[in-house]
Amino acid sequence: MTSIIPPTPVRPVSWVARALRLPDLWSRILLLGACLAAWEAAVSVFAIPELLLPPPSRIGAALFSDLTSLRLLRHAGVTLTEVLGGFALGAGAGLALGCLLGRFDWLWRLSYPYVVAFETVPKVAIAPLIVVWFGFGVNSKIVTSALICFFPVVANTLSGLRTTPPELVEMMTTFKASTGQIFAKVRMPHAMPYVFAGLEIGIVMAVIGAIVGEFVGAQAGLGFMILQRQFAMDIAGVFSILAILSAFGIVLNVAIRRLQYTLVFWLPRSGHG
Amino acid sequence: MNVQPNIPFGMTDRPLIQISGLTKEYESRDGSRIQALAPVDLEVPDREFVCIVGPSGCGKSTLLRLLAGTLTASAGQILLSGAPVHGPSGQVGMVFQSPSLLPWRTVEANALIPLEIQKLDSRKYSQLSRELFDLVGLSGFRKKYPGELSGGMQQRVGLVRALIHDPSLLLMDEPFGALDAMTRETMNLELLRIWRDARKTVVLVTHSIPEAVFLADRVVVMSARPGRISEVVDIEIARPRRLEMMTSPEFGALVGRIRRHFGAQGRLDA
Repeated sequence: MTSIIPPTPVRPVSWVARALRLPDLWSRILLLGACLAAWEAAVSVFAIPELLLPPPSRIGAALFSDLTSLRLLRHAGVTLTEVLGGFALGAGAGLALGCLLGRFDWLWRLSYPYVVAFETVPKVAIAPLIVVWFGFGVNSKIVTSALICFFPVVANTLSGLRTTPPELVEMMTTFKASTGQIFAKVRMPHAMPYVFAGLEIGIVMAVIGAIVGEFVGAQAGLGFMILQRQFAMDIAGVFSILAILSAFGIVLNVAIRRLQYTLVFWLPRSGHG
Repeated sequence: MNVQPNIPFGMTDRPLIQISGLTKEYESRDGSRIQALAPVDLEVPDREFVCIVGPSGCGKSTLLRLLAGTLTASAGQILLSGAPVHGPSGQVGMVFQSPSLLPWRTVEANALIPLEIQKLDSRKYSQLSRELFDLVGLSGFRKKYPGELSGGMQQRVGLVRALIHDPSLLLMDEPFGALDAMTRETMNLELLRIWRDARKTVVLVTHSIPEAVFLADRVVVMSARPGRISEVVDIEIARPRRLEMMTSPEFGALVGRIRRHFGAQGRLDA
């Protein structure tokens, strides 16, 4: 299936990479190294206290000890469970609601004021309530995470279903297709790229949701660890967890893109990475 | 070619299409009524090739959609093989202005859509499917995706799709309008060959008067606001038709005669 995808255009190499005669990956690593070096130098030259801004070398050491400690891996596992659980729940429900609203126009007209009203509530503001309702354990974080990644998926699914080219619908109608057949055979597949755009936003939102949930009240997880280290004035340790969370986001995002390239194989790939 | 002819050969003298007093009105946004089609009467015998020409807004596309059953008439009726048209029917195949292929389906899966929609047994039609792909010269492309095909090839897939369920009537809405002149001429020749072999009735809408004269047994000339038939011109040029016939005086005279209809109200667009 992947063989039909037009070859990815040769990625334009940045002028930095050209000037340095290096491939993009190496110039990126070089950029990171330069920034870290400047950071390290600034902290040392201006004698910034470690409590305000620890030098990268200290963060690196903290990260190394975190990655080799079972205790932190356990916390990471908790957060990952929350993120994946919340994403599965929120994206699944979002896809289902988007499909229902797109498929049955009367349902959309009946409910859209409430959908929009619910959408505009800042989900972060409900997080304390959710901890009250679902407890301090993993469940309340899954719910927060699900709530926050739900709407991008609903909105994108709907706009995908809505933008189905009318000539394709007319073609189906001419050949005697029912509304349900048009939905299943044309509108749903057409909406897939939009759904994936929603999922890409959704997975990032799911991470935010889980961390917010842990901030409000938790006994485990990376968000919980951030708070603990902050109280213990272990700022390098906080940065170390931020780096781990960022790695989470990148891995999950890449996983979604991979899935998209497999399922939405008829569109040329876009973007970088 | 006809796996299951809809009407056994020689069984009927009745025209395939009988249109009588057909009108179509639309309601505009301010509530006033716009007449898209003035009362139209037309009969098309079985296996005839009819072209409809006219300027934009003359209702030719509306007429085609009424025939396809995707629009409902305001008054009058259409009989197809003697039965009134209420909604889309399996008797009709249509080729659209844009190929309207589904990019996530292979060429073959696209062509088989009418069978799938109408829940027909695709095994019964596999012979017809093979013949049609041979006829349009796309047998080697059945497993490709539409994005890998040229515009002319995509339109050929649309043609196979329109004929796959063996309809008695083939409707074509400016099918080659988006193609370049060379491809267009090739497609016209191919269409005539397919029409001869498949023994279908064809109603084709076009902007191009020479194209209409080249293809048709009869050309229905329509004029605008409200859309109505101004003349039906019999084209008595011998078949099979060849491209060099387009330079004959007879051909030129017919084109000139049709073009005069539009001289009074401006030119035919395109």
